[in-house]
Amino acid sequence: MKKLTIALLSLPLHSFAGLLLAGCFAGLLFTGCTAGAGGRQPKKIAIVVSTLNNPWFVFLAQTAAAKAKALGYESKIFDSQNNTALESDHFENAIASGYNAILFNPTDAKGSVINVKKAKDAGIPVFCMDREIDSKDAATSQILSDSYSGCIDLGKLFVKTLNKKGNYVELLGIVSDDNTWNRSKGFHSVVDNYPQLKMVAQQSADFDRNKAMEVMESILQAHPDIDGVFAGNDAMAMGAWQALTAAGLAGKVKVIGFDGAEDAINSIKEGKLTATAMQFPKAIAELAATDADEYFKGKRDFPHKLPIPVDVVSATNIDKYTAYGKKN
Amino acid sequence: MGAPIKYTLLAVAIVLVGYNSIYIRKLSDVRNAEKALDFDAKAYAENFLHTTLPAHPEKAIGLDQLSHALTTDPAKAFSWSHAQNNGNNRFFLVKGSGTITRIDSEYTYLDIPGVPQKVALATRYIIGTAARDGSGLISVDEFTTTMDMNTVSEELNKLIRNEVLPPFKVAAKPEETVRFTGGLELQQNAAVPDTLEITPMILIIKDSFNNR
Repeated sequence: MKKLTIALLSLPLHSFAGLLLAGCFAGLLFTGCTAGAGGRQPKKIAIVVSTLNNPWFVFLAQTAAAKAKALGYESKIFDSQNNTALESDHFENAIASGYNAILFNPTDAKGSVINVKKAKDAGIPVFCMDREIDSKDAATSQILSDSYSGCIDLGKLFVKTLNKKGNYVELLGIVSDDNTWNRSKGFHSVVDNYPQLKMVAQQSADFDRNKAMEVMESILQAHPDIDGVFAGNDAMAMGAWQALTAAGLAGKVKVIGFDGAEDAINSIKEGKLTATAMQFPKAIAELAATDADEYFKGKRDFPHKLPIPVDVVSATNIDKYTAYGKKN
Repeated sequence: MGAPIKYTLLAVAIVLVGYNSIYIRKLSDVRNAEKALDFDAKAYAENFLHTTLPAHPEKAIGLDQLSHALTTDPAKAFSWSHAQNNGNNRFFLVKGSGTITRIDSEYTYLDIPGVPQKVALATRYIIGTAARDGSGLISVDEFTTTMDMNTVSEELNKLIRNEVLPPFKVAAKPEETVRFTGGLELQQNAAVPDTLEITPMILIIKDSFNNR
């Protein structure tokens, strides 16, 4: 028995998943595997998100779960904690546990492709939400915020706010995420046309509020004379704002974020943050769940990539917006 | 088997296994091979600007026709627009010809019969995605990543800055007539702006287009 236990423990996870699948198949022969057989049990949707440490992704995941439930499906949220290995485990588990679709917010544009391919090989459709994977056909569909266009608009506002001159800092998100670079490139496609706008520092803070505060504190030691901060998401913008407040520079330095998160919207209302770009996580999550529903009903012709527009939100139009979306 | 033969065979085996286990290649060769697999946004943009776009003149709407429709039938006007998403910002490929009324450091202004708005050809800041998206000929589904598609936009804007504009800026003078094709961005939920700002993609000054 001891030997058997050790042998089982030493099996790699994918082998264990294989055993589970085999067990499911064997069970199917005699009793019927739960999901998808005979329509007695609701189909199951796994919602795998990059992190639940950021309220924006919590909202995304919970909205997807609520929509899945409204459509009559069971769902479970898996937190990858920005760790591709953990995300890989979630996919193994979802495949082994008989989930019928995966609504997916990837941790890594390149590294997550293999997980999506595994699900595809197992006949499970994957619908990416907000973040992209670097593949045209691994996912059934990818519903993505049009970060590049949004940051062109933010760049124009930034140029206008700083009157075409000044020193600024850019805080990048996770460097392996396409959103990070689409946002940065969109912003620079505008701002780099103005030679009197000088980027004095560009550092990654991994889309994380605390890290952004630390990075900003460190940058301010070397560059106390800055006029603006462009942060790749609202969490980092809020972290930068905290560091600027501590340094007595709040208000003097214009800070721009991206997401439309609750604290950023409140901050714009209070005259602190200058602007953000409103993504629409509700629309993205609900569309992903609806796509899964349509897939179950036989639809197959989904767009490979579907960019969702984002809106610039600043003091001039803040009354039209609430956290994560537009006011009704 | 004698010890010397045994050790010799062992050594040969180790050398053979070692030789077949280690491959030494120049780092530059590996990097070049990776680069070869990368999407070439510059080549794509060049082909689009010099070949694809001129081959599809029907994709451009006359600016006078668009201007008229914007005030009389906005729904029809925006049915000629394109975008990569279904948002408020829409893009048109427009064409027309007009007389240069003024030139400043950022724009060349045109007077175009049938267009009540001021028309400004951008000659300094070429930004945004109007050049990429106006014609509707470039779709996000063509690309492995949205980054590739966005890089095409940047390369197109760069080509306009570096190839389309320099000869035009040298030759353009007030009172001369210009024929143009370019991108135009408009917001669907906003009033028609007083100035229509066009990202020029094809520019021909009268002297040079008489024979075309």
